[in-house]
Amino acid sequence: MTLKNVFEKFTLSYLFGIVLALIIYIVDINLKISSVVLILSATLYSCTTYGKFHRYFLNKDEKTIVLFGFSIINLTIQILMMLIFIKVYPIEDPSKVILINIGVSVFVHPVIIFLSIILAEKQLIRKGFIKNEDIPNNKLKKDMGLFIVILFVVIALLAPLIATHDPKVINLPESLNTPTLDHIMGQDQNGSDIFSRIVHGARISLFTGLTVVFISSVVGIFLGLVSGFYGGLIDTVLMRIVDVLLAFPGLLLAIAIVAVMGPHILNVVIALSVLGWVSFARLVRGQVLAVKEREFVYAARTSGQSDLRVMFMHILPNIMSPVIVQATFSIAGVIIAESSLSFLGLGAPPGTPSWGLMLSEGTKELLDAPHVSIFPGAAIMLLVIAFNFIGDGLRDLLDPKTEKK
Amino acid sequence: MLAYITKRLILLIFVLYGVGTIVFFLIHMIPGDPVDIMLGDSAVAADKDELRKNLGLDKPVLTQYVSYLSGVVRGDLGTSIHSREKVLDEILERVPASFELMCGAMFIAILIAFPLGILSALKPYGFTDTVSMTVSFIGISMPNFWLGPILIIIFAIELDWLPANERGGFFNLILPAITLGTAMAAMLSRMIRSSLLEVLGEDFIKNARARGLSEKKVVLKHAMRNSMIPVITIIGLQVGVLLSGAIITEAIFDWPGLGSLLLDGINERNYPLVQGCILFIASIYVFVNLITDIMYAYADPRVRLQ
Repeated sequence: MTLKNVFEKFTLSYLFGIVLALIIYIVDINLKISSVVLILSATLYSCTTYGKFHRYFLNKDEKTIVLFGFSIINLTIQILMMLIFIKVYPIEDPSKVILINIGVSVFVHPVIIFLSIILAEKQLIRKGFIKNEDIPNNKLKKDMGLFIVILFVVIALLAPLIATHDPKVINLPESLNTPTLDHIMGQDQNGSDIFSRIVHGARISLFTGLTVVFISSVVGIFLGLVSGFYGGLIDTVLMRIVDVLLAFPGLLLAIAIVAVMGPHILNVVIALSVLGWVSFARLVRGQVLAVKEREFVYAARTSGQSDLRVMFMHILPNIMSPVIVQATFSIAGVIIAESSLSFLGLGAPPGTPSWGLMLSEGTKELLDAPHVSIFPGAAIMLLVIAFNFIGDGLRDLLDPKTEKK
Repeated sequence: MLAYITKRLILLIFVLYGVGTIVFFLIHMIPGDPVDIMLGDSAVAADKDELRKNLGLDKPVLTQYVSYLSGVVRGDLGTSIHSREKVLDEILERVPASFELMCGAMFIAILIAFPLGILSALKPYGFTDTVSMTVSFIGISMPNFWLGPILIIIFAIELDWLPANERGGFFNLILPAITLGTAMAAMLSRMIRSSLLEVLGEDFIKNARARGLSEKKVVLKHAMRNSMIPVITIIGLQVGVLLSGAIITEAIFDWPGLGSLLLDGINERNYPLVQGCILFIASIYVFVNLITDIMYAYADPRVRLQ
């Protein structure tokens, strides 16, 4: 299962949904019939997905086993989602069915595909068709994560096009309105459209995550290489600095730095980078120590290459895999850290559509409007899970030892 | 063992010195005049001068540095700006609440993690394993500032079973402790599972089974004891996560602990208090790490030689 396949499946599902919605729109059947058609079509679709996964895992056997047992579970999920959808978004006019159909595709199909994968796998292990280690589970996990991340990146890049409203517009009379078709995630305490704010917030989260990890990995790799390669005084000094920075648990130092520098997203980037390079430096140093006694390094040095060349052209490429894995997990960590700082009022300044800030403003209205805090929280969690998935998958792919365990 | 502890203690002094230095220079990172920021633009010049003198900001940086460090060594963390109380007293006042929250979170984490981890390891890739590992994956990815509000919505607002504000009796502790403890439970159960799985494949387990010991005895006595070593480390390291996670949890639940003291200090621009809190929390973390390392070295003698 490559990313291309997952991608194809999603595209197909969207096309399928849109075509169906168009037919419904043209024929203008009433709501009940159209939702039944929707449910049936989605179930059919998920059954075939499920079957495909089965065949994919079996690889040799064309007959799909126990397809029906689990398609019932899929059906139940689909019906539940559809009921929630219809309850939350009351439909007056059939043209809105298109929107709903796309909505169903967006929310339901990732869930269904993912559940299909897990269930198909487990079923096949239980039936003894495959052994546990035969499953390219981690690659799949990685692809799922990658898909979600790419989705968010696209959302972030095209934010002004995707957002249905201006995220900064304040509309106090409509504050804390629950979800409607116009505002699909409702409105916050200022009456701003939550969906549009979340779409724009993806920019902040991804920007912070990627920038901080870029800065800290570049600094950390350089210092780790130098420290491990030369050893001696440089190594001792750098590692003591690392020890001191590690003495601050988790976010504490970042909180302190942002507290004195003032709430601004760039200050958050600085504060998290100050902390971030430490783990990279330690990791790279350890790896360099393990690699630098190997023959190819000696060969490179005796052939008269400069130290810098040996470090960056010979050692670095050989130690990159754990660094990449670390970087992926770090992005997830930084996104949580940025949201935590914003949640505490120390990150993005008030009014910015940062997910953490939205969540913290939402918690003040928990009693009246829980939806204000639920949606941004879900966005944070989804993105973090996606990066963790990629990290998990990459780690097992790049390090065959852990996969066999 | 003694040599190991001595080595660690020397390192500890060095680390504490570094922490003190960073905390000292925090106040010099403030853009502009720190006194202006602390008192606001409208403050009287005489007040500003007094504060500047009290904080020692009129002296050269090196003198300030030496007097700050010597104060810290003597347990003098300075004076809080508005209340004019000793910073250390204000901190110590909040310690019981924080301690209570941490113990609660740790208790919840252990209560969840051990059964889940052990059950998962006994039947790897079975139903329980799948469910518990999925739950723990979600637990790791779920930020506690989202879990907290959701718990409040479900248990305090919708069901009205548990109180969700401030410190009080046992029931007030439950929701904050779950919020803080979930991430640790998730991490810990994965660790227990993998560690126990590894040990269960060792020869001495086969030997114990061959001797006809009951499965219960094999797992609980022979395997568990040997799989605990990495688990101890994780528990120790997670204390740090609890310490910083507590800041957010305390903010959600209005818990009068160290974390909310720190946040209050930041909001009031009471920098001596902020410095004191950070120094205090970091020192606790350093000491907990030291104790963890020593316990680890005690449990696994190979560590001492590294």
